[in-house]
Amino acid sequence: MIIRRPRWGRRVAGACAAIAIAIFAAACGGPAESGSGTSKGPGGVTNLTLGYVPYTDDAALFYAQDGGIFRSHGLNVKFVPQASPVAVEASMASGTEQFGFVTTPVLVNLNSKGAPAKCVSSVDGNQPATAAGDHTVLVAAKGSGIKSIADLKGKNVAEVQLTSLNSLAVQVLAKRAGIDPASIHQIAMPFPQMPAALSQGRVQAAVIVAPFADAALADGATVLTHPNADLFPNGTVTCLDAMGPYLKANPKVASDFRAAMNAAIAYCHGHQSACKATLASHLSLPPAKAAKAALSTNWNPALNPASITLIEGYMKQYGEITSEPAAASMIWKP
Amino acid sequence: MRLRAALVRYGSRLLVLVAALGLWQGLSAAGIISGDEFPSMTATARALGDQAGSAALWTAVGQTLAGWGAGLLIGGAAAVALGTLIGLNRFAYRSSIGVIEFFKTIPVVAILPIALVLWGVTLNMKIALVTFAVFWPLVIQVCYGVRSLDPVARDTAAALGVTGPRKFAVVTLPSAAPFIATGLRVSVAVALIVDIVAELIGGGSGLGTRILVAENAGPSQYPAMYAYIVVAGILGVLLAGVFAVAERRLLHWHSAQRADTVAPEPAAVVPVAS
Repeated sequence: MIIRRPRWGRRVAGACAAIAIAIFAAACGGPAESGSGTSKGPGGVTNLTLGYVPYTDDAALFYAQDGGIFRSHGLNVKFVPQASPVAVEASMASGTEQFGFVTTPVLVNLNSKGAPAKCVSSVDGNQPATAAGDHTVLVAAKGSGIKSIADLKGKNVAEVQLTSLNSLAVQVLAKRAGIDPASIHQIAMPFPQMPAALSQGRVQAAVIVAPFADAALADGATVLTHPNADLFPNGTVTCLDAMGPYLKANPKVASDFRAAMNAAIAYCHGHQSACKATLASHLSLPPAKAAKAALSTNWNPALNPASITLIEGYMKQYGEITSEPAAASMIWKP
Repeated sequence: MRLRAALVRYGSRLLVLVAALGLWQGLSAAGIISGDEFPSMTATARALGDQAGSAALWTAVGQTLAGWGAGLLIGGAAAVALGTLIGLNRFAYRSSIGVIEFFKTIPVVAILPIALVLWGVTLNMKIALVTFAVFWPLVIQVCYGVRSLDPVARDTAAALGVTGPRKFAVVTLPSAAPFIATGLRVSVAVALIVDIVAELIGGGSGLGTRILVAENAGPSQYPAMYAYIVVAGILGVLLAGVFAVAERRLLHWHSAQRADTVAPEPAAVVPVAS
């Protein structure tokens, strides 16, 4: 379900530290800084800028915009497409964006470095609890001889990023299957390149998402598991967040934003085709492809702190963070 | 005779292009490259045709050119000014060249998060990165150009009593011009690459963002993604062409431009000792 770019690679932690320093500096600059970027338009409408990573699971977010839900909540939101949540958070630190898409590992990383990023709303609901609705898959290449996760020992596994939920999941699954996670060669690779890498034998397994997974499965790759449904059922693995100082200065905007997103997610739950239709314009997809887009969600917009704690615990275990801030502090409360 | 030479030159280029496109289509048609991984030449051409008729493409090209142009202008002007000052003074040159060489090697992608934190996803972010990428290599080129002043010209100027700003305008700058021109020609491509990378990874508006959105939309949009990449390539060729022509016009008096064939470039010049 999560699209993150490999280009940031292992720099996530470093970038998070830079963002933390910038937020700290802005907070020290006084309350005027924290409200930067938000402006009131005509008729009391609040102008906002939101950074997002374009992919199919943004359908509810796109609907909040196209269906006029943001507008009816007094928000005029400008959308900025970006390659990764780290780029989104860096832009938020600059004050040019107020809200943005983040994945839970990046959210945790930021908070453990002292940057007070907080989830305000869900993107399109939490992870599904069953494999059927989850379109993130760990696949083994045809002819790789891999039948189970234990067979991944010593093999090359492609992941979109090396410090992501996907790479974390592979380590947790490996340990659970009784093999040393360090024995797996984790290789960063963009989703579009994974099907070819699998069929050419450059990697023997990959964590891949729809619609990219279709090509791999058509080439004969087999599904080993659905890591997110398996490890984080009903979990909050992504959210739309804002920075602590901004939220403190603009509680009304945050509350309107959350209400708008919750309304959009509830509408999309009942009207999926109307929601998916927004992908045609926002992702330039042909309408037929947009209608068939696979969304990984249970449509429940209530943020799940227990799943954030779980992910955080795994991140600590695998040395990605040193401190573990409480999950409740990473979710905005009015 | 000249017509024939031109025919041969452009004909051979066209032939290579057609052969490359044919090979691309052949590999796709033979199933060696799957359409789910890399689109065929015809599918990409179709996507390119669709985009050419849409305002979105031309807006994106304009946005990319804005970052490219402003960054190149600021970085170029700063490099010429500072490079000249450093090049004219042996002490300044010797004490600063190490720092310049150091900054030259810093990949722009490494400082992209800092630029994002400072400026966010704005035109200024793109301009700052392009300026940074263009400035360091060009400042070295300008230093070398200024320091490679022909001793005969220098002595003649001294004998004629040409000094100060006049010496700079009629002796130093013309002597350094070919170096600056070569540096600029290289910078044109560097600036475009950095600008598109800033859009692709950082998110500034332009061709890079269009490539990102098409890539993330899935395999059905690969033709559109590669069409944008082709546009970026064509843009690079056009801009480099414009600069090459401008260089020929402006530096027609220089020996490197006089020969009929392509002259050796003063790009990789060994720094003047001492």
